[in-house]
Amino acid sequence: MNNGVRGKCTHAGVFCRERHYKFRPGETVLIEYSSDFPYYLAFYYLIRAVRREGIPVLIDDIGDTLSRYAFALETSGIETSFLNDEGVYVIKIGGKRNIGNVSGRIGIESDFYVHNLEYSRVFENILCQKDFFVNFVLGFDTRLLMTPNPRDRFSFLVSKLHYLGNERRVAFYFVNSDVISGYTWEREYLREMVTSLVQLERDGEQYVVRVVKSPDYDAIGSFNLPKETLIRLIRGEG
Amino acid sequence: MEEFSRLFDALTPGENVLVLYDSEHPPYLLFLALINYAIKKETPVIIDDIIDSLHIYRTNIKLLGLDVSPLDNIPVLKIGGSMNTGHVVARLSLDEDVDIYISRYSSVFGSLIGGEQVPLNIVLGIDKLFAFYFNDWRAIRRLTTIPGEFAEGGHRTAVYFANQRILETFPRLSAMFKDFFTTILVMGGNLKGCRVNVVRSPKIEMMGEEVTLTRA
Repeated sequence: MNNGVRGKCTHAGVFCRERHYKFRPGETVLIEYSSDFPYYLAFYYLIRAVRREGIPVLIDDIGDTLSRYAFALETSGIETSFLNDEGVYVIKIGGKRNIGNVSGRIGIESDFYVHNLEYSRVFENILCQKDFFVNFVLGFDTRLLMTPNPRDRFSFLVSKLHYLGNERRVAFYFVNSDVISGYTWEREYLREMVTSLVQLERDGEQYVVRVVKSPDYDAIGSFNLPKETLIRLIRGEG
Repeated sequence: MEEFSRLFDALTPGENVLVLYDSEHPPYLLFLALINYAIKKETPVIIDDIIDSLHIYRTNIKLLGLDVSPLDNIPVLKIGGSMNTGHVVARLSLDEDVDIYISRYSSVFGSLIGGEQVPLNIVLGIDKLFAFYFNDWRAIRRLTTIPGEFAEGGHRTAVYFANQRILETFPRLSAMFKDFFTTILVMGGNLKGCRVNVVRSPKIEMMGEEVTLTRA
């Protein structure tokens, strides 16, 4: 294995300001977007930056969430063929619409023991082939909604702890903050277990990016992103 | 740092300290400072690691670029969870029944102490146990009294770290829980440096003060 991996960073920032904000290997980044934020654009911006560097990507597609993202991007006039690139792997958790390179499939009803076993099998399989990759987790909020038993929600959250700090990957969890606001301790537990927390909101004509928590503590703070800037970042060279 | 030592030097064996934090005001720097303080004073430390909480602390401290090696030699009592962080000396599974859990805990914990010096017992993740027992009011009520029970005899001094927002999900029970503590510290600041609000302390003159802990 390549020893240079430890020092590797993804150069993808969450809509950067002056400085390029880098995520460190081992990080888990929670992105909480409000319902009036175009979350799929944030996803696109990040995944494009990661893929430009040739870093492989693993997408956890919970309950066909990825097809919702892809549809939203396409209707916004954004080309989504990058999802079929060789370096893009997808684990389907529930759902039936296949997008991208489906490398594993887990039934959404399966119990957590089976789920974790199967998930770690797919995960390790990709780790075997790659030195470093970026993991996008889509539909985590849906998963909470679909898990009526609090004890099961607890186990689901805890099972994700296992991947935290693994320096061969960085993970981005996209969740709708309005969906998870009803799950008080679940939300706080999730916020605690991640290493970075970024909140995306809309304020009139502008968008607001708030870095609440990050090991790169100079990045903590919030800034406004005018609509024009957002469009420029998505369309042009961001 | 001096003020920080004053807070912890003042503790009487048996006392309970509660450190409240949330994700915006994390406790990692205080936790690390406390470990280093104990090592310097040659006070034995036992960490209760409830449901892999220590893994969260260690990962965050490491990503901050700080030295995690002091953590790796400290005896750890694992309660639930599956990740072996630190020097695990005993393991307890989380039984569905809280009474069985507590009685097992007392006997395991009792076997770990008994040296000449009163150990510092750092408890990570008691709030996760509240969430784990979620709708079992009796179990959580039983958990709230643990700090009180173990205070008797003065065999250890305990520092509990708890996520304030998770505790608040159980408002009456967490209020009852807080009553067992003679020191209550609330985290402010951020990862750059932390401010610690002294809500309650046996050092009465320090109450209401803010202690600053800069990043070493």
